[in-house]
Amino acid sequence: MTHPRAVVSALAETIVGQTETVEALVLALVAGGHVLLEGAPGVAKTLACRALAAAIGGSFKRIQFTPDLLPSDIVGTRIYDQRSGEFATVRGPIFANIVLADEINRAPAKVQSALLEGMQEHRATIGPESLAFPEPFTVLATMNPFDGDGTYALPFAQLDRFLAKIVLGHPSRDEERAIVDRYAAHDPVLVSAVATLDDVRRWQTESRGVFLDDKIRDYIIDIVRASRDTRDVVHGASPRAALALAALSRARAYLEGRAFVTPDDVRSLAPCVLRHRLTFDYRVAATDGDPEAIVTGIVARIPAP
Amino acid sequence: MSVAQAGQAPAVPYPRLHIVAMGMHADRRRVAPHDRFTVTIDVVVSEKRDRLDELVLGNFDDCTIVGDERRHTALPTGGTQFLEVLTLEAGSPGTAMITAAHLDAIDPKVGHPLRYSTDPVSVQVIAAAPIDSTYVSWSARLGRYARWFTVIVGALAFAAFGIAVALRRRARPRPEAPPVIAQAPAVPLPAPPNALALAFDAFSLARDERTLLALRAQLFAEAGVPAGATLSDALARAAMRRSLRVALVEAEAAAFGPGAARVKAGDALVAAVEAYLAPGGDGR
Repeated sequence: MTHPRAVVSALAETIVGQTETVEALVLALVAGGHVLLEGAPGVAKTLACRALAAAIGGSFKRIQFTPDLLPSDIVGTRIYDQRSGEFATVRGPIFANIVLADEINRAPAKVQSALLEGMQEHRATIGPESLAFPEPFTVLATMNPFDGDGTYALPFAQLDRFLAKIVLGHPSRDEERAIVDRYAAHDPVLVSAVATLDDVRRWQTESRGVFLDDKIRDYIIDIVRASRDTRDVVHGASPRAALALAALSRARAYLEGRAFVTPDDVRSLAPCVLRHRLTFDYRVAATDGDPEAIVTGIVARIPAP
Repeated sequence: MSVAQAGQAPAVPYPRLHIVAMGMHADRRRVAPHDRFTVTIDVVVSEKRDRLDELVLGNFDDCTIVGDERRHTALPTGGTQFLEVLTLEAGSPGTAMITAAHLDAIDPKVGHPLRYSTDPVSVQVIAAAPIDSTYVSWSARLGRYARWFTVIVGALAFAAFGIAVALRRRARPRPEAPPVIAQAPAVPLPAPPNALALAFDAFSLARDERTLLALRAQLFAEAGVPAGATLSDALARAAMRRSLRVALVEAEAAAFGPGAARVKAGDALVAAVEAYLAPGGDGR
């Protein structure tokens, strides 16, 4: 039986560096959640998503979000077939195991809503039909922190539906050298499948059974509640954040072959669960404050059990 | 608890016992002459027994035994906990010393006899404040006056020196204090070995959530990390101490693992802490 660690290793063969990102993507897959990826162009966001789909032998679709995109471009539509004289359903690109929503903040709210509704329900309605997405179903949405002109900020309620937000940094000098050596002559070759979709469904079921002690549960709640009681935070994290942190912590324990969650699981994952769920006071932006430092401070403030 | 090779062969064969924990503690550190205090010797064995006649008490200096009560409890893990509570009466001012109690037994794992010993216990016997008698000899009075005189003169000299220093400082322009760049981070001191041994004894005697978390906290302190840190912090600090690392990992499993796995992790934790505290272990 394949272990999710095999997927991490397979992704590491294609992607140079970005170890934490690769692991976080696999954790989100095991936890059955969706991920928001933020990073400068060219730091392997799209490649990571493609490689993930290839490693689990799943279908992959990429949707480039633009201001003129329509909900039907994502979900699908019904087309009149002249030969049969009937309407036929054409499924949109959201019907895939791994969906890459590239630059999600470039589309208007109604398109974002169509995607986010699908993320929540795992199904879409096209005409009279309600169609389920293939399982596992994971949306990886990217956002570019630069080029803010012509973007539509995702509403707070919609951001809350992403299990985690991963921030990709630039590779180190050695990693960049390795990238040039490896991919200057030819394009990256995606790994072949090291797991099946059945494996992923089994991981998702088994990781939900990982033991979460009451002390760990209270630690999670303390961290989430502390985010609502922080000076520079206007809106703290919702109870959904506590659920997300518990699910991701269980997935990390499962990935590491443990039958129980430890405080380290929670502490290491809390920033990626919290960072997109908090609204910061205007003074933070006005004074060039560092939101990431505030998130880290919240986590550090709560003593581990 | 310390372990050594047992002495010459006894008339009665040594019992086969796995000694899990052995300790001796006094309920008070200081007593007045003729006050009573208690010393408890606790021994935990893995076997089911109702007597522990092999336990040999040490010597008692400057105190006498006025009571001796023995108890034993069957533990849920299948072992037995023995408690011997000695009531002692302190002698004259000085130090009441109770030397180590010991127990010779064949460890089933090793197969040959070993001597298990507790640490010795000492209690300070401090005289009550002296009461003035109506009869004080002239020589004693003179001695006391001389001591008072010395103290007063010394205090006056110290005060005069302080005033002189203060006047000199006022007369001179004070150099500006250098700016404080950063405060040195507080580094938690490693806990004294006794604190860990005590927490270990408590956990060995009664394996519950409270004693487990106390033992885990002491292991963290031993690694040099404060309360509220996580296992990875502790492991990073305990990089070179293998037996401590093992104990820390087992403590994590015992504290946060599912119910069925906790008993097993608890056993592994006991073995790991024993190895850490054993002579030659990282903790000694």
